[in-house]
Amino acid sequence: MNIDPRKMNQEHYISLLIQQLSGALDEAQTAELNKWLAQNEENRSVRQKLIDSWSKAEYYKTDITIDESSAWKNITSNLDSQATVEELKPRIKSTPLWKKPLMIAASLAVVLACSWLLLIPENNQAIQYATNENETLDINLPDGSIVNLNESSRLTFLETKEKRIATLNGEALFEVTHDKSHPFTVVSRHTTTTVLGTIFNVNARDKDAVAVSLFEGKVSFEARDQSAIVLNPGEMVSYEPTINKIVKTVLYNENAMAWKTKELKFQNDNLEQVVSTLEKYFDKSIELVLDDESCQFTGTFKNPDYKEVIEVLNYTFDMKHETDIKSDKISILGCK
Amino acid sequence: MKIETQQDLNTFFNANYRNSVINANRILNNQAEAEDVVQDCLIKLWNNRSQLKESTIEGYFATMVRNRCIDSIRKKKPVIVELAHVQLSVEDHSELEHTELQAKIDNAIDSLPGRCREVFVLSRFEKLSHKEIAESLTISPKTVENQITKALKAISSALLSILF
Repeated sequence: MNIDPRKMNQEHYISLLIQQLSGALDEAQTAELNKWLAQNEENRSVRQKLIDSWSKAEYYKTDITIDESSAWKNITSNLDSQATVEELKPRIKSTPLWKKPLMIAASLAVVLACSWLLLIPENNQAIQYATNENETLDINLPDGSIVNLNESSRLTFLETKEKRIATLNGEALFEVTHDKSHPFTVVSRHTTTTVLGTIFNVNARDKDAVAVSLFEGKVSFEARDQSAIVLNPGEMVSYEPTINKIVKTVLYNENAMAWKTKELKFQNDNLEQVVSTLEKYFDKSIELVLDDESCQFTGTFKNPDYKEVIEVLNYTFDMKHETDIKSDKISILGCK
Repeated sequence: MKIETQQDLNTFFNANYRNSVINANRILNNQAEAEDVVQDCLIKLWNNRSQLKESTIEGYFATMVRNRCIDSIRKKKPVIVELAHVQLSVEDHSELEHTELQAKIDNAIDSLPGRCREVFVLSRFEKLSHKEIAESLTISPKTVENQITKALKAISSALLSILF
C-alpha cells in the first residue's frame, strides 16, 4: 500500500500547527514549521484555514438567555450568613432618551438633569440597564451622574451609605459627579476603576480586555494583582488579562502641533502636563515642585511669550517662580 | 475587590455570573446544569470569603467553576461510536442576533462527538494545555491533539459551506 508521502507530511505539520494554536511549541519545532510554511502557498493556506477556524469559534455559545434575578434569588436563599442588609433585587428600569448620545469634547460641561431626584431608589436596590445591538441609552443615575450606555451592554448601579458601585458588561461613557465621601467605582471582569469626578469611557465587552479612556478629571485603575494606576485626561489604559498586563497610552495631545499653530490650549490639565508642554514649546528646562497635585489649569494662549504664561499661572495659582541661568523653577503651593 | 457583605457578592455576581455560565455551558452543553454549577460555586465562594486573597478572586472562581465542570464530564461515558447527530435546537430569544455564520459554527461544534467537543472547549476556551486536558480526562495527549484537529476541520467545513 502506497501512502502518499506528501499527505503524511502534511499530517505532521498540521499536528505542529494545532500544538502552536492550542499549546506550546518549542524553538526547534517552530523553526521547522516556519520552514514548511515558507515552502509554498498551499502550506500557508492550510495554516490560514486552521487559524480562521480557531479564531472564528470565539462566539461559540455566547448567545444564551439568562434569568439573573431568579439565579440571584436562588443563591441568596442558600446563603447561611445573617444578611445584614436588605436583599438586593435587581430590577429593570429604562430612562427617557436624550436627543443624542453625548459626544466626547474637551469643552464639555457637565449637565445635571433635574429629573435625577425622582430616580433615587428606596431600600438600596441595584438598578439595571441594558441595551441591544444598534441601541444606545442615556441614563441619569440617581446620584446625578450621567452614563451613555453603548450597544449590547449591561449596567447595574447601586448606591450605599459609603459608595457608589456600577458594574459594566460592554461599553459606556461615564460622567460622574464629584463626591469624595462616596467614591464611584466601575467594576467589570478583572478590573475596578475608581473615579474622582470626571468623564471617562470604559470598554469592557465579553472579550477579555478592558480599556478605560479618560477625558476629564482623574481616575484610578486597578486590575487583578497589579498596583493601581492613576489616569490623567487624554490618557487611556488597557488591561489584557491573557498576559496580565496594564498598558497606558496617550489618546491625544491637544498641543502636539503648537509649534505650528502657535497656540497653547489647556483644559483641566494637571500641572505636570502644562509644564511639560511649556518645556517643549519654549525649549526650556523647567523644574516643577507640586504641593497640591489636584490643581488643574484651563486657558488658551495665542502666540505667547514665556513671561506672559508665567504671569497667568501666577495669577491662577498660589505659586513661586524662580529663574537662574540654567533653568526655571515653578513651585505650586496651592490651587487658590 | 473584597467580598464581605452580600452586596459585595451581588456586585461580583453582576460582573461575573453571565460569563461564568457561558464558560460552564460550553463545557457541559447544558445550560441548567451550568447555572447550577456556577450558583453552587458562588455559594462556596461566599462561605470561604474570609480566606480569599483580594487580587485573585476572579481567577480562583473561574478555576473552581472549570474544575467542577471537568469533574462532571469525567463521570459521563464518552461517546465511542460516531453517530449522525440530531441537530440541536437553537436557543430562542437571544439578546444578540445570531448571524448565519455564527449559527453554522455553533452547529458544527455542537455536532461533534461529546468527548471531541469537550476537548476542543477545554483547549480553545479554558486554555488548558494538551497535557492538562489529557490528565483530566485520562486520555493521551495525542488523542487530545487529534480531537482538536477534528473539531477545527469541522468548523472549517462549516465556514466553507456558506461561501457556496
